[in-house]
Amino acid sequence: MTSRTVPVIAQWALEGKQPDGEDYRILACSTGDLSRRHFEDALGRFQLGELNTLPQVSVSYARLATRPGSGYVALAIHWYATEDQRHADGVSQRDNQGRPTAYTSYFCLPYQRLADAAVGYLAMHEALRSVTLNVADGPPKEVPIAMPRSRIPAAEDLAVRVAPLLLTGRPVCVLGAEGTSMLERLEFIDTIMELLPYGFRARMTAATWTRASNRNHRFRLFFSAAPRADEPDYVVTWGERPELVSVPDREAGEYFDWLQDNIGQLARLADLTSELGFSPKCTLQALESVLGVRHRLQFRPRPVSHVPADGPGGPPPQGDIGEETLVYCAEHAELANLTRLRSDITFLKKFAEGEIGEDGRARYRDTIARLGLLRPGFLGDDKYEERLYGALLRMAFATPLSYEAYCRIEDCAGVAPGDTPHRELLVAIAKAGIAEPAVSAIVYWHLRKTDERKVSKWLVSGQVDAVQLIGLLAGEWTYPQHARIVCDLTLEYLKRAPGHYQPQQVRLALSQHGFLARALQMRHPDQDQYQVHALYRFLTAAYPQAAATPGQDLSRAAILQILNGTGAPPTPALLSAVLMLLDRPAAWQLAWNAYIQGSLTLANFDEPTLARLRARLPHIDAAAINGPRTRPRMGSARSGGTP
Amino acid sequence: MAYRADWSESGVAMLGPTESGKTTFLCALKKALLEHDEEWVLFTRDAASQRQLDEMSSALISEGGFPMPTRTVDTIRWILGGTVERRERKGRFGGEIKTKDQVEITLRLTDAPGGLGSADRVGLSERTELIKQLADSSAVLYMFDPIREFTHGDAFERTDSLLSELMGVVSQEPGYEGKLPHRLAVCVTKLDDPRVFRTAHDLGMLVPDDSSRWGFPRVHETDAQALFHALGEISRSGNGEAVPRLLERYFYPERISYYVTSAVGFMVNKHTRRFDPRDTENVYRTASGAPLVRGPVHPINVVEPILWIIRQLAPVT
Repeated sequence: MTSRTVPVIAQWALEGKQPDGEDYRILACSTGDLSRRHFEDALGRFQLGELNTLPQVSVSYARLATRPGSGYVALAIHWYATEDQRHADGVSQRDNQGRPTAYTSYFCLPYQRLADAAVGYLAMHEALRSVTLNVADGPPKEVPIAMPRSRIPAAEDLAVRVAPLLLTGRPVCVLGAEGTSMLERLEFIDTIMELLPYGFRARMTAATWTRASNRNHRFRLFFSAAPRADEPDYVVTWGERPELVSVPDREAGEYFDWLQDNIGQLARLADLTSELGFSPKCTLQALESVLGVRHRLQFRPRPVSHVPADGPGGPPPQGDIGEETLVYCAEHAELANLTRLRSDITFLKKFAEGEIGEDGRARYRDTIARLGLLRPGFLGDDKYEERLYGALLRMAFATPLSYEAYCRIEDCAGVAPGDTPHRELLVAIAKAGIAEPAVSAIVYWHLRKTDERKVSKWLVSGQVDAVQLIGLLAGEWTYPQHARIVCDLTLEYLKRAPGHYQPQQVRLALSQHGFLARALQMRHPDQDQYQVHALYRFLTAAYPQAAATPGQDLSRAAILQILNGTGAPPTPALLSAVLMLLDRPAAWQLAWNAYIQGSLTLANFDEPTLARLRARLPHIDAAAINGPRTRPRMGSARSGGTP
Repeated sequence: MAYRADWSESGVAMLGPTESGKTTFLCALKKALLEHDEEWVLFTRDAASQRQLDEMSSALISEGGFPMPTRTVDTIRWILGGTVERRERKGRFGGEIKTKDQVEITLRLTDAPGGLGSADRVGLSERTELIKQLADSSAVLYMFDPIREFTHGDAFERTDSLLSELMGVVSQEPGYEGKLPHRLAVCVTKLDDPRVFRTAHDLGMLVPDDSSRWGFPRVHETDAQALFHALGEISRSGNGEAVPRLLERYFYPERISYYVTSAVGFMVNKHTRRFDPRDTENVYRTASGAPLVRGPVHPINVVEPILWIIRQLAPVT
């Protein structure tokens, strides 16, 4: 029941034709802040076009440039004067050519006054339609407008979809509503506006009908018989299945999700039509009906922790909304409620943009792991998975991702170290931003399995730094499996992108880290063959001319540098790799000698032991080291130096 | 025969005071094309234009009612499909041969309230929109209503107001050479009105139209300009005679063509099925003053200005 009214001062204008006139004019207007010229301009901006069927209603707005903040909501009633329908006195039905004259009763009501009482268009129309204007200027009119009965908006499928469309900024054209009354259409417009913040009414423009060829009108929401050509309007059809109205992503999509979650739940009460009494049994039944559609996943008991309750891994603070949303995510995924899931993901994205402490992240990782949110095929929808992973990574692992974070992702996703995570997760990791080259190397190595081109592109993108990767390989790794991947990727890079690095720099980097021989030996002690393979390829990249030129060995200096010049004892695998690059027996001998020297002199022996050994080491001719670098080959016209 | 779907798109703006017959002219176009010797057809490709075409055609032809006064700057796209002939040289020394092309011409028609010509509308958004549409158009169909000029005499004032504002916009465009570049088809309307008919008759400008099944007379294009001048002289305000000069001042005279038209055509005697010079008017008014079409609509010179514009704007082949 509407019992209360709010008095509102309405400035007004009456547009039409004088009995002897032929052009449309402002016949009369109020003598308030808005002048005749204001009314002329406003009415010119919001014309429907000539229509056979009147009355129609349009809503728009007006502002006084000289008074910022003094906005008006305008409501225009477009009507033909007939015997029984007359919104103004002293007007004639036809012009001097005998053609029917359409009149417009135009009212401007102060926005703030309406906003305070949340007055809708229907109520405005109801109050203003009974105002009879005169063909003479006069004071503004005080109009009592009924205040709304309820502020809970009625949900209607089409309205729930059209309201977000308006947020895109593109007009919405409603077709197929010829069979509806003007009041029904106005109610629809009002319903849509109830689904948007009231403030939008300050700039809203809408019409219950417009002429299709009136292409330049400025209504954001309008009914018509045909879509406007060449205008980017959304076109929806009255009476068609609302699901056919596609709401775009981004803000409009998010708003649509929000509406569905908040308005839709209440709207669905009307669908629960089984007869119910008010007995305890029926109450329970009703509760089940309402709640049953969304059974809640329960937190499992947390394992007993050795750390204090307020430390990482402790129980979540009461009402941790991030953790709750993670649970909802799992729940909605299980129920295949994609709408709510999308809403959850949107929330998580926003949530992750805020500041999250390491304690919180630890808890979220724990929850993600427990709920299996990163497991493959969890959502079964690539689009949602990518969005969800993006949000989870940011929320629980901090982006851009460090190597430590990557290890945690593997852990949470239930992926063994070094194993390949599923593609959607990999893509999300790549998109989330990577802070360390080791993570890039691992991710792109895995992506190679499904997207070879992407990896090829990355290898030659200039983002890969061989020297940096060699440095990483020389360091310590949480998981040797990751180091193996990085090593393989480095070798792949050295092989496939020779134009993107300088061999001298690679040589220097390898030399600084003992040609990685010890690192490989320690990391892969049982994989001798892999060590030899890797070292041979590193040497090939570092000494490309010797490797690529038949009959051209490593120089003597290079042999000594590799096997006895790095500060760390060589390994059998390194000797093997060097020997594989040598053709001449004399070079082999030098390599043997250098290996023995390096193994004994660079080992961590005490000085007396070293002193005793020195005399027993094979002799290396220092002069020969700087001697001729190449040996002549029969039939070969080429000559040159090894590096 | 070659088919050239996208031969041309021409913006054609309708100009003329209130009730000069701009919208009625459009309403009659489809029927006029059907009655014309050349086989042009009118169709659309967008729903809004199709709806307008249907409504306009049926309003005048089937329902005998005149269109409602235009309230907004309406834009419709109607497509004319037909055949054009062109000459083509064969070989280096060969003679010319005639070839026919099946073509489509899109007419972007702008119809606006006649009241926007009034000087007190300057600055209003609707008027600004009309000026913009005019500036974007290649041609103008100017409706000169001699009856209205006799009773109101405001053609000069309104036309001058619009054209001077249009000139202000066009003169800022590159290539401006001192006049409006549009093609201008001047249509002296309402030939079926006895007052106009009599003037043409008295000036000896009526000639039999050999192609008319009903024996309609017509004013030949060569006399149309003279009739325009003559009718301007009986303007209520006395300014009507200046309208032709005004148009020639703003537009290049060689780009102006004149027609004497009637969208509804002459009344055909129901018994003789022939034109009766004593009863020409094909419009009558009800007791309330509303105009209605009396008999069948046989438009006069409605197609011709449109085809003249099309040929003027056709790409050179």
